[in-house]
This record gives sequence, structure tokens and C-alpha cells, in this order.
Amino acid sequence: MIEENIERSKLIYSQHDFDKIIKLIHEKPWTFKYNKGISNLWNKCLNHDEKSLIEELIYRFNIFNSDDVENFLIEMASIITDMWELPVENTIISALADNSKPDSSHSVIQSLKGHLTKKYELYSDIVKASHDIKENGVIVIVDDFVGTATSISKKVAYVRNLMQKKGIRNYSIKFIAYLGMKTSSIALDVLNIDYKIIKIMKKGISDYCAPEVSQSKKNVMKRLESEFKINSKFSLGFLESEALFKIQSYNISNNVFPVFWINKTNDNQNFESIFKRG
Amino acid sequence: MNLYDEDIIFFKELVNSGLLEIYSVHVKYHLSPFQIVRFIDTYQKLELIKYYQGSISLTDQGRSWLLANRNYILLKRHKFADPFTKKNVFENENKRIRFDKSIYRLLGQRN
Repeated sequence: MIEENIERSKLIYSQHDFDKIIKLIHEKPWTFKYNKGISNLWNKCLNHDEKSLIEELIYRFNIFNSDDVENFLIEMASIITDMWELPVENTIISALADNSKPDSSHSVIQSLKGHLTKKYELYSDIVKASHDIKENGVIVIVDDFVGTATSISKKVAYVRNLMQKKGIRNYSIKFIAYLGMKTSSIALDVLNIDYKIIKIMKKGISDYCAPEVSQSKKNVMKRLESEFKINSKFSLGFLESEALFKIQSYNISNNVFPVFWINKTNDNQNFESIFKRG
Repeated sequence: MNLYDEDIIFFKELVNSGLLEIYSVHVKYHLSPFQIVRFIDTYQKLELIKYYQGSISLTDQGRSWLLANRNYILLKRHKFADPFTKKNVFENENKRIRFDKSIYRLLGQRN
């Protein structure tokens, strides 16, 4: 529970809404930390359907704390050393990031370092790592989350191109992420690489409801999204990912429904959202 | 742990009513559901209040605790942000009242 002053309510809720919010807070104590953003979003809802949908999504929302990250790292290290049994001599482990800009995959590789029992060569830049792959080499690409698999697909294509140019024919590419959308496996299977997603997550609406109900709920969400300044490619999350998760102290993913992180209303006013996205 | 704005409001209301509907407090004072849940969770854990089906009441222990600390909590003779110190001793009806020092323990602060 947070130890700071909580603002009083801007609106007086109906008894029905009030009871729902009280129950939600009791059952999802993480909401305390984000009380202002949750109240702001709730207050933007025009009708019962929108409020019910937000309530439903908050119940489904996954918050991963530092203990969860620690467990992901332990499992990631175990997959590399025990499951895949990768030898130190010809294995490179790299973050998915391809330049010096800060990226969440940098924190994965940095934290993974302390969990590996063998001294693998680690890289924070996949471009540099790819140039160091040798004949019979293995590159393991690591990231925190895979949504649509767009980034990993581009990186795999880059590595393959480079290997072709360098005339290296025997090598393999592997990929591990803490978290991934269930649908990401379709794109990952196409890549024809070994991969492992430690925790697979469902789409926040589509994977929980029948198609016609899903469509109706997505329309409800799109109406709510119209209250905000949201680029169409982020509607329902990047490429309609419908993700519902936050790793604490990490930047929230743009695959998450944008109403959870957007900071501008449609009339360009600042909006204090539940999560901040840099 | 601090004593918050909503704690004072709730205790004042509880002194006047045996059973207090939390929704009425939301309507009357605009307390947010988060403030209300924080109050309930904190003081229920300390066994000073009981929460049941949308209403709260003081326990016997809570009533004694509130009585012992009434000057401090109900009469606003304090600044909320101040730490609890021995200075918080006041005269009341010519009778010197000392605070029940369990407040320090209950609120997790040192005397």
C-alpha cells in the first residue's frame, strides 16, 4: 500500500460503480500505486460498457515485480546452459537492441550476466554480436517481451544476410524472452529458429471472449480510445496486440492497450495515465 | 506509517455513528475509493475497526484507543505531518490526559 496522500475523488460515483471499484482495489492491491491514473481513466468512461471493460482488463492485467524478473532470469540461464547445453566456446549471447539507444533488452542481458554459470560472450548490440559469429557458432538473442515478433524477425533477417555475405553456412540462431503473446508463436515459427518464451500471455480481449463478443468489446475500447490522441497503429496496442502487462521499473510496452499509457487527450491536453511511457 | 486526512474524517464520523456506510463517506467528503480502502485495510489490521458488507464500526479496542487519543485525533491539536512526540499532551476539562502510548506502536513510529 502506498504511503502518500491520495487525492480525493473528482467525481461522486454511483453506489454500483463505487462497490465495483472498492472490490477491484481489494482484489488487486497493485492498483494503489496507480490510483490517480486508474481514477482518471475510469472518469473518462462514458457508459457502463466502457467501465465494465476497463474493470475486466484491470483484473486481467499482469504486474511483474523484481522477484518475477529474478525467476525469469534463473529460467533463462537454465535454458541456455541446461536445456540447450550451449558450449561457451562458440556461443554468443546478445540483447535484441541494435544501437546505443537504451532498450529493455539491455537490462535483460545485464541482469542475465549474474545468473549464468558459464562465461559466455555477452553483447549489448546485436549488430556487433552478429559480426563475431563464427563457423558452427550459435547466437542467442534475448529480450524481455515479444509481441508481434516484428523486431526479432528483422534481426534474424539481418543475421542471415550477414552470414550469407560472410559465407558462413553452419550457425544457429536462438531466441529467449521473459514474456510473449500467444500469437507471437505464429511469427516465431515462420522464422524457423529455436525459441523459448518463459511466460505466454493471452490477448486481453480476443483470447477471452467469443469472436462476436470480442468484436463488440473492441468497438467499446475504440470508442474510449477516441477520447485520446492515439496513432491508429497503436489502437488496441501495437498492431492490435491487446497486451496487458507491466514489468515494474521497465518502460511499459506499446503492445499494451494505449488507454493504459497514453498521455494526451484528443484535444491535446495532458492526461495522467495509469502508466508512463517514455 | 502516517495518519492521513481520511483517517481523521473516518474516526470523527465513527464517533458519531455505531455503523458507518462507507459509500456515505464517499458522497459526503468525496473520499476516493482508494483512500477508503487504505483506511479500512490499515485499521482493520490493527483490530480497531470492523468492516462488513459496505459498513464499518469501531471495535471495543478501537473505541478505547480512540478515547485515549481523542485530543490528538479528533480535536485537530496537531499537525498531521508532525512526528508523534511527548509534546502531544493536552489539558482537557482540567484533567491532564496523557496519550495512550500504544499509538506509537500502532502507527509504527518511535516515541
